[in-house]
Amino acid sequence: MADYSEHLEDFRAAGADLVAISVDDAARAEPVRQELGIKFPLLCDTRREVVKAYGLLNTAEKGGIAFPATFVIDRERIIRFRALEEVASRVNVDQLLGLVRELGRGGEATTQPRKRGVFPGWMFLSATMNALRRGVRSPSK
Amino acid sequence: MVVTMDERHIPPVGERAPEFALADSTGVVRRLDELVARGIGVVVFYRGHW
Repeated sequence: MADYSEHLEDFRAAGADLVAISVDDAARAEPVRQELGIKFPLLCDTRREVVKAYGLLNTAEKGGIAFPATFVIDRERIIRFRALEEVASRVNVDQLLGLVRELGRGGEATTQPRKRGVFPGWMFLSATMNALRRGVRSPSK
Repeated sequence: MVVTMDERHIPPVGERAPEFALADSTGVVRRLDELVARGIGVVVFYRGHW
């Protein structure tokens, strides 16, 4: 996580910009952004309209939250890659690492068939997603 | 608990992504068409604090 910004620059150098979306409001998302040193925007879909539009509203969780998912979208707004992750329960660091490695190999955590190498930095992206999850799952705080 | 997502409502590869305009955690409104303007936009949905 320490080298987020370094990798993010690689993304940007490749012509890609990144945002993350959750149903969290700014009061929740901003401390997470600062704590993790995230250099890309965390969008606050408090009305859940975007999460719904993408078919990702998980109503089984309180209030309705987003299923974890990633889309790579081109200039014409065409979806070029999609990864859906059904991680319904809490996972530990080892499991997270395994998931990252699986995704890096184009493994079964992706729903689209094995377009490995379609987008540079896929490993980083997976790590980012996991870090977001891990970073905000701290109910004891 | 196992929660299953219904993929039928999730836009697939090859389809146009739904446009959005949302404020980020610092209050700046971000639009999808701006995100992809340089060529590629990556949109990550995450669970958030729950």
